[in-house]
Amino acid sequence: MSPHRSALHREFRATSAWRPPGKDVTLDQAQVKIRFEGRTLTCRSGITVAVALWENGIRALSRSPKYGHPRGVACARGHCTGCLMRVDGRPNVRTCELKVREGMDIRRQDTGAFYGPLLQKTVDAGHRFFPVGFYYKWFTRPPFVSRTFLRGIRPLTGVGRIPTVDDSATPMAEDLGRVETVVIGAGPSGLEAAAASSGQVLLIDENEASGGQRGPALDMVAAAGDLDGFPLLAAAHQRLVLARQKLDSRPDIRFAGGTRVIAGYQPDGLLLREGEQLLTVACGKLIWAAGALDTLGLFPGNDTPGLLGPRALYRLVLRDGLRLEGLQVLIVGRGLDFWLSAALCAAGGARPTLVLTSSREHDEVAAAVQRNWPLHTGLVVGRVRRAGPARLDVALRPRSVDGATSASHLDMETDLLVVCNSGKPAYDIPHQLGRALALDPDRGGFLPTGSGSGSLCEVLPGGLTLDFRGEAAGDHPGEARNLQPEAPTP
Amino acid sequence: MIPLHSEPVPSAADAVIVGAGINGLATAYELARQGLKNIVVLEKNYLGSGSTGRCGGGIRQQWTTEENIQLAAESVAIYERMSAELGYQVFFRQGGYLMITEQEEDLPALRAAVDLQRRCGVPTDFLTPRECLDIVPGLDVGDLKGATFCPKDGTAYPFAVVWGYARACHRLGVKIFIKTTLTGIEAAAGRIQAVDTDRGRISTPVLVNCAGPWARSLAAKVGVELPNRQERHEIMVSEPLKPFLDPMVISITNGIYFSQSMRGEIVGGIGDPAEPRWEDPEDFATHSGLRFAVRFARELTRLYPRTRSVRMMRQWAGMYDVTPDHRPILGGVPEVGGYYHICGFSGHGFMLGPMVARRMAGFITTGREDPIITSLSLARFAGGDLQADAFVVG
Amino acid sequence: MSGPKIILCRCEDVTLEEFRAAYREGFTELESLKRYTGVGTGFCQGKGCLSEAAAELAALRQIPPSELRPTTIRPPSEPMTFGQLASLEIPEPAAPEES
Repeated sequence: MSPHRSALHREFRATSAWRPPGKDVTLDQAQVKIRFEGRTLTCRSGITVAVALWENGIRALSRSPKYGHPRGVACARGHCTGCLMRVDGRPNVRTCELKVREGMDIRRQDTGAFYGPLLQKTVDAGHRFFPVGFYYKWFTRPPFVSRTFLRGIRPLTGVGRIPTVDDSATPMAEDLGRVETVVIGAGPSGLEAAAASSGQVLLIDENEASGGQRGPALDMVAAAGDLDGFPLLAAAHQRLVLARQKLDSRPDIRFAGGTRVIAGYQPDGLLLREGEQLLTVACGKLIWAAGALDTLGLFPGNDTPGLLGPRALYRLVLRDGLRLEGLQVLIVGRGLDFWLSAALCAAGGARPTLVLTSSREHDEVAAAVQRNWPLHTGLVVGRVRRAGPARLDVALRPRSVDGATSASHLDMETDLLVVCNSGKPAYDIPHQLGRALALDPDRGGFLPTGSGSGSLCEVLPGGLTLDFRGEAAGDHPGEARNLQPEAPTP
Repeated sequence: MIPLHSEPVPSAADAVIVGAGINGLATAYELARQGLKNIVVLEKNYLGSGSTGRCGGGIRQQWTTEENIQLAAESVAIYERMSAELGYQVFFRQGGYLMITEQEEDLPALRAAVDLQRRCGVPTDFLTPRECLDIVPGLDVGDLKGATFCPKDGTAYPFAVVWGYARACHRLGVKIFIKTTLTGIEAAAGRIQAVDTDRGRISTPVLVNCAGPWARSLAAKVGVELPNRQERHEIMVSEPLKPFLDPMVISITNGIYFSQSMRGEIVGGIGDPAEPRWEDPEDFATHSGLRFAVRFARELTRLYPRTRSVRMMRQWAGMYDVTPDHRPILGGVPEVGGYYHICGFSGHGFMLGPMVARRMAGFITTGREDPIITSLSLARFAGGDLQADAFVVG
Repeated sequence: MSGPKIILCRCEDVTLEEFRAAYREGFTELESLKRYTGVGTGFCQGKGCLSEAAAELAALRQIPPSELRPTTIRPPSEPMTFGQLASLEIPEPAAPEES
């Protein structure tokens, strides 16, 4: 992050090089063979390992460390542990982001971080006797028992074995120098913020194309002519189209697609990853418009494979080419993502069943009825469990509104369950850069504190702006410094 | 176990201890065991939130002065029985410490240290680079010149130690107040009289300063000037993997250290000579730096190439409370009766804390002279005849 | 009885019930709850569970949620290999701040 390099010397695409997503994955029909637990499987090329296994009927990609519950793809974004597998001798590979290659060797991992796989069933069944922290209290006396206990559990710790391959061919990292304005997130907010920024702008998004997490799904539904009757979808698509137009008038803005921000280092540095290569960049101003994370909610079985949030669904279908034809999809929730998931499933040839948790959205309800989508109201997810390798048993329970309920319990089997809650903000990188956060349950997570002052700090939907330039640091001494009041003891 | 955040502090105590890290809690525990009643521990943040909870958890006996070896051996003896004594599993695992060097000129010192340690009853051996491979398969021994290995050294989980002491304290009637700030100290007639906190005043004849990197500013409140300076040190953990590394590996050449925890993570750090020293607690910066991550990764992958494809999960920083001779400051001061300090561990507080607490508790309750406390008193800096250890690493 | 559980933290397999039990045991603030239960210390670094755990803690302590701060969210947000890290230039040390 050398400050003397002021220009962007790397040739990123101009944003006008944006292309419609999804085409190459769906058109690529070549087949490859992969090895899974010693078996040979055939799959389409160009898809991810997780989708390849899914299409071969395998959804349980890993086991949870304590209870040994089967887990599968959940975030489709490389965050969670559901899809971690051993691939070609490397442990803990995120198979939701790794494309298949001919001859790839894929294995489930040895989990059992604390107890080992054989004991997991016992622990699951007798969970009352194994509450978190019991390992601090059992087998402590006398000393030889304690020592024996440690020796006994040591081999059961850890997830995955050390790599047997040597990745010495890691590409060398590259320093992009200093950029006046970096915008993270090429969804509508990020596009608008980039277009409104003067001077040198670098726009970064983890997806190859602009549009944010919903963009490809909105594009696909629009292309299928299915926006009619859904004001929520039409408005979102219209905003995206306008934002792209604004950006088209700024061919000077560089777009780093397929690039993820993986860390923020104070005062003003970002660590990026493009494929396997790391990049560093320093910024005068950072506009954080990275969008939200899926939230699935807290109910029994909320870790069951086949249960997804809407953003994961969009990625699996449009980035990774997951086929929806003929699938039964139960969609629970409300709002833009609820209707977008329904429209996407319908456009992809699936049979959506809707459980709406809102008493508004009348226009969309009318459009759903017109399309003959089964629709229930007054229910929420009560419990989920597996009903076979690729089936879910979902118990819906009445939703209480002001103490009253208007529906009765409903049990349903489905291939896929999509829970569309409002999502939660993701401000981990701004926090690493010194921004204080506080819990805001109305917005579903931790939000930057303070109402924001002028152009320095604009909280969503325009994105969060962190300004590292000298004058800003003077006005807001906390902005560019470490803000965490860590443990100043007496 | 801990009074709720809303409870007021008692109006009087027989001893107030400031800081709920390993030193504060172990001292409270030992004082209570020796019969002192009405002990209060004040902690501004949460249990282990200062340096204890940020440390690597290593405990070694490989030192180059007889006194340090003796202190560390006493600590290891306490750690060996700690889980049983506290009734709490602290995950003390004796995987040994492998101290390596890449410089020929270090070898005489290493051999001399082995001789001294063996005379003190510590079973250390001198190893050739080839023999290191038996201890740590996969280590790149190409540039190594030699190493020493003591199988009785080990690691423990710092938070478990803190919680174990806190539970044991609770059983003995010690009151621990977290999220409680000390706002003032009253001394009169050459003695501690009371402390003020944001939850009320506590009159007390005894105040023990276990505030780690904040000890210097606390001591200043009673007019005691400590020579301590604070240094930011960084540390990281990798993804958790099945066990493949038994000992702590530590290089006296470049200050890198790493071991594998009981969760399977590689835990390690590396000292940075360019890190500034701090004098004012208001200036402490415990943010993470990319410089540390890169320096650590370069050294780790050079020494231990099989970690090249292992992922770093998380890095953090904490403060060392460093004295001019890198040895702790213990005991009291003649000017202020009832004031004691247990600080200045220079990065080795977790290793030495349990043993120091036991000796200090005896000193506080009986007032009997303890040769180790005397030799580690603040007064030693006035004499100028300091005895430093050659193996200060990390 | 085995069967579906309410999982608060997927990476470390911590149930909502276990989180509440840890609170009753005396771990009454988020930093200690994180270390004791493991919530937020797994591969996702708390992306999936930290705000949910904080909301639950606010309910347990009956305090306004806005009083809760996150535990320090440390870099990196996504694990990277030591080989990748080693391919970076070593940044210059930060200049000491003027005080």
